[in-house]
Amino acid sequence: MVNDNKDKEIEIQANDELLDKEIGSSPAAGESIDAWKDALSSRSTAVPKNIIVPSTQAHSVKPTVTRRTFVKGTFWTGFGVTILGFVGIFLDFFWPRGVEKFAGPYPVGNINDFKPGAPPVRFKAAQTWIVNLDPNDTSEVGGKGGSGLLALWQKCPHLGCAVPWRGGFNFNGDDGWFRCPCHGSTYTKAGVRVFGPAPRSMDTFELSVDAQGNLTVHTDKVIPGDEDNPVRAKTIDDISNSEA
Amino acid sequence: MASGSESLQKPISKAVQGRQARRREEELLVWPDLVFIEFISALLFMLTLTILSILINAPLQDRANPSHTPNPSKAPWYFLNLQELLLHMHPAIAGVLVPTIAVGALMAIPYLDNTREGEGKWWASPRAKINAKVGAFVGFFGTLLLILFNESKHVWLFEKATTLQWPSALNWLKNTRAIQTEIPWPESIRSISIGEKLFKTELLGLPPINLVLDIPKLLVEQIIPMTTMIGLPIILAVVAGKMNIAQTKRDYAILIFSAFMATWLMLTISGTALRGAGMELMWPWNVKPPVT
Repeated sequence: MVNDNKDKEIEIQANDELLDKEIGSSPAAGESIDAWKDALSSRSTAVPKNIIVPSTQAHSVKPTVTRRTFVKGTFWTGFGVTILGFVGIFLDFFWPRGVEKFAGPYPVGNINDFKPGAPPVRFKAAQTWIVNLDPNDTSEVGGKGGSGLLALWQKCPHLGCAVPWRGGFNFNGDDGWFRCPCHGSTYTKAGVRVFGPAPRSMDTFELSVDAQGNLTVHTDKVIPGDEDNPVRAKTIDDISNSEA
Repeated sequence: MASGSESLQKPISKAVQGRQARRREEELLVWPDLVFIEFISALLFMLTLTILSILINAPLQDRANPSHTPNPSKAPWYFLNLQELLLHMHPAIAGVLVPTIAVGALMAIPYLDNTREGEGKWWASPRAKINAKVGAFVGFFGTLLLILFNESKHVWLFEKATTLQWPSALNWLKNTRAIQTEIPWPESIRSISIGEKLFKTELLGLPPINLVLDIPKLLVEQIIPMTTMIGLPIILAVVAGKMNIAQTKRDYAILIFSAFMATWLMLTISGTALRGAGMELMWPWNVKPPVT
């Protein structure tokens, strides 16, 4: 094939002169219309039969964009735009906005707000449940005789859902449990896990109290939850003494 | 067969050998036979979706807020099978390992079952239907029983039937978690310290992680679920083989696949229709929309 093409190239070069002759030259400017008519009628644009133009020579001008380049370019552009879109969506969803700094001291009311054995109280900004365990309530759900105030982190140790207190929820014959709405982990009033996929009991925070009895929860001091959660509950005297 | 060029028409398998050449009347055309059915299906689907969207309110809400969790918090329905799994085992197994293995196993089917016997035919083997039925039955009701067990419904049934208390000596059989909490495991296996050297957190400037191995916890959250999910299909396959229900590779593939699909269906039904507030197991008519 290569040899064939070379032969044809030579053939075309040889025919170039022939072409000039056959087409003929144009009359000079100012000549009569007849001369133009004669010149035109003697011209022939038909390609002589002995010239074979191979397909490789038919378009001797190299296109700047070939079909392959075009298809490739279209593919990569489409691909790139799609990936960019994904990256954009990812960033849009994961870009932190309106994030409030957590971890730190939060005021959580006064000691007089919490009656022993009363339902837990939630403090939204502190992400905390404040429980006042009744020392006379020795049932499992009531805190097993743990006495005083306990600050529980609302975040479920399983996958992080906010755990609500459900006073009317019956489990094992008792009413009133923390029950996670995502996967059903169940905790006693002291945050001790009794059921569900959670790896441990609810985490607790440190509590402190000032002279006026105002409570502060220290959300930067997290203690991983365990079965000793009820023992972590502190009476007001305990908290005051540990302060001093 | 009349053409005589045998090299071109060499039968691929014995199943094809001696089979009658198809007549023109036996063939179905894409149009109208297939496309028309697809069109009707699309219309029915659109109609159902429209009616459902009119009847059931599904409001668009704010961006996810970690400190505000609706009760119950449920994934889209097609993920509720995985969420149901999450209720019963370690999140890494239910959320990562199981879906990865399931998708990988589904993709591997053509490589595992590479016989060309009965290719392109539904229920080609004479035992195909019985295998599908047995697999679906065992998968569906086996999963249901496992869910009921982990929700202590056998305790409820015992107390209803005998009006006695569940014997406290058997408290560890109340559910899977009870094996960890109701058995007095020695402290020595409950906290085996691996130390702080396993993860080089100091290289990242993070506080050290003191790894403590808790064997009963590992047993309940990982070993028992994994053994159940691997062991029960094996037992099913062995029993089906002993009973001559499954004989060929294709039979076993149909058996296990039907069991898997039925399990998935049961998990989806349970997660969708049987889980109410607090993801508590209840009758479907007691399941209320989430409280936000």
